[in-house]
Amino acid sequence: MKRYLCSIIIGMVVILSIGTYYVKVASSASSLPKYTFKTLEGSDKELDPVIINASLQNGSNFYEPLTIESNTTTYESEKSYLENLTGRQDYLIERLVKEHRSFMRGKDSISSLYEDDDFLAYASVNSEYTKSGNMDAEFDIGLLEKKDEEETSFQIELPNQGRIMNADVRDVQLVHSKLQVLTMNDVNSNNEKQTKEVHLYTIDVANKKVLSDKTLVSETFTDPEQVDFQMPIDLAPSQPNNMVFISVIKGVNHEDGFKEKLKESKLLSYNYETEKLETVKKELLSLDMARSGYADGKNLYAVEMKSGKYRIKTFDLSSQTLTKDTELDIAANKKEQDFAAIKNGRVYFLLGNEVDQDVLTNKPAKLLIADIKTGKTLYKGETVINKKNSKSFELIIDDLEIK
Amino acid sequence: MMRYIKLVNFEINRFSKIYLSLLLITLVSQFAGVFIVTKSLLNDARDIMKEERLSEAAYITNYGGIDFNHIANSLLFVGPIALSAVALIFYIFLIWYRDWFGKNTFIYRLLMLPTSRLSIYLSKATSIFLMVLGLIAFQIIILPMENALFNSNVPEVLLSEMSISTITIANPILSLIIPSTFTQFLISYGIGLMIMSILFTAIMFERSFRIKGIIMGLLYCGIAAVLFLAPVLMEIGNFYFYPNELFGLMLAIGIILTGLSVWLGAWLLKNRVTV
Repeated sequence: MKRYLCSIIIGMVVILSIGTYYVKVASSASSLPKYTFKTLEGSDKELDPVIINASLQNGSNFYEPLTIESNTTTYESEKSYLENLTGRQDYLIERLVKEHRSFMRGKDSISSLYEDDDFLAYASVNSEYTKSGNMDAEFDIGLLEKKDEEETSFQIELPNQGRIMNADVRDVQLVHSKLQVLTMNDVNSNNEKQTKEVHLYTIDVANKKVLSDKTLVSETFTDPEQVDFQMPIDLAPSQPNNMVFISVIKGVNHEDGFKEKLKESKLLSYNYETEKLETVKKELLSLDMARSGYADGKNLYAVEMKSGKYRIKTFDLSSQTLTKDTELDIAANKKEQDFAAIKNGRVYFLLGNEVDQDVLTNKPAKLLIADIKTGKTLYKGETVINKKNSKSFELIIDDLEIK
Repeated sequence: MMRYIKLVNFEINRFSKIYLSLLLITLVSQFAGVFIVTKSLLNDARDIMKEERLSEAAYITNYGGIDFNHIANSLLFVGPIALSAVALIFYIFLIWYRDWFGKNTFIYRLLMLPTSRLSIYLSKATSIFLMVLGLIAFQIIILPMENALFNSNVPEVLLSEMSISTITIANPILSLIIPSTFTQFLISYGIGLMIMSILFTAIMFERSFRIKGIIMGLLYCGIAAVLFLAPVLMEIGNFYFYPNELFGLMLAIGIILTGLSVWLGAWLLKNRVTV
């Protein structure tokens, strides 16, 4: 028996020590606090499609990512290894992968996708830099016919590659059976001047050809001048949109930051059907609204704070008029961060992350769901934590998604 | 089965002296590390507080509290872990070669024994695996003690207390040997088992065919690496796998490679190894 002493000790220590450690790890994952919404007004059925991605923090040493989906909290550490391999994905990409697994292979950029009842299309730019510093770029095009699952995939060279340093696909639309790909390009330059452009490429998928390369906007500038293009946050990135908005922001880089030249900045709208590029009058839609707003193809929505309350302004894209100015029944707070989503005829409005001079205040997050037309509150609630001594835990909200 | 257990016990007893020394070195070095690094951190903090005339609270706001990470990243802490890892990797080879080149030409007796040669192979694999896990288990036991010692030596105002799981996640070496979930533990040590069985088989090639065997062994290792990494290599060639497909493929390939290596190694030991 004495001969076996060493082996027995090692065996027992291994099983007890490693076993206890991982049992403790598993039980501490399940002892993490859970957040749910306490209903202050309305029906909690409204919470079903709401997905909130956030993280639980406690000082600088504790960080646990979590998701509150349909009012249930799930921590990343509670999910299985396989679920965490895929990581956090947009709900839209998840759904498309489930429905069209082989087509969606390798496609994870939302702005490169287009979906309607009959088709699913994809356009992205693959670029490589050669030894001489030039860019070799090609379009990666995919089109799926939903009824018979017929796929067309091909790569085709980007026209005028030599000019381009960088191309970023921002929107894809299928108009009159041709693929319209909107990109923001950085143009090559040998001197101090920088040039940024917005291009529209028309691609004939059936014949695998690039039919045209239209430059919608081209801006050249020299440091310290700076020009940037921005598009409002797309609420329905893969849905068919007739129009797209591009903010052209012009300003100067000073030592203490960027100062915008408001008179020169402008807002452009492009209509895919009429192929017209127009400048939106500033009286109708302020630059701020356009930039921080959310667009869904029919309307542009902007969040405004006025007289202590939040308002959602709805700007109809085709008629270019302000159609609604809805007041939300929730107190405004400049220090809080707001997250909005507009879907199903409702505005989902989440307030959280109150920061005062770099210090985060631990307050419950508030959620308001209102009818976008009337502003009538359909649901109001705030987060509650299911543990008593939870003062030191901070809930940091990352984003809001609606299924 | 009994022979196998006896062989495992035999192998462990053989290595026990070196093993115990490794454990002792780890214990002494890491605890010394706690004392020495804590003292130097506190001295540095006090110097800064004096120079910049900061109160303890102001020091914390500007520089952050003193935490166990500094200890976990120090040489006195990490050194013995690296030493033990190197020692055991060495022993993967030595566990075989000592039988051939030892004092008693022990291998004659071993191979003459009426045990199946598979038991010999498996017993050596099991002992090394068990001893690696033993080192990990030892670290899991002494880490909370070191953390407690650290926490009691630093004045409360300056202390930024960390839990064991936070310490293991924050330190790259600890997070490698003590993975944060049990699934990850099985995966990491499973891969370790696979690599060990491939190395054992390469050793069997060498012992069977001498110089030609070294080449065959290296070739075998190369082929195994390419097979295991094939899904990843295909991704570079522009074929995209979903993460769970990649995982499933590599898991299957890993299991097949391990089984193949064990079978091949045992076969070589039975039929081709010369004394």
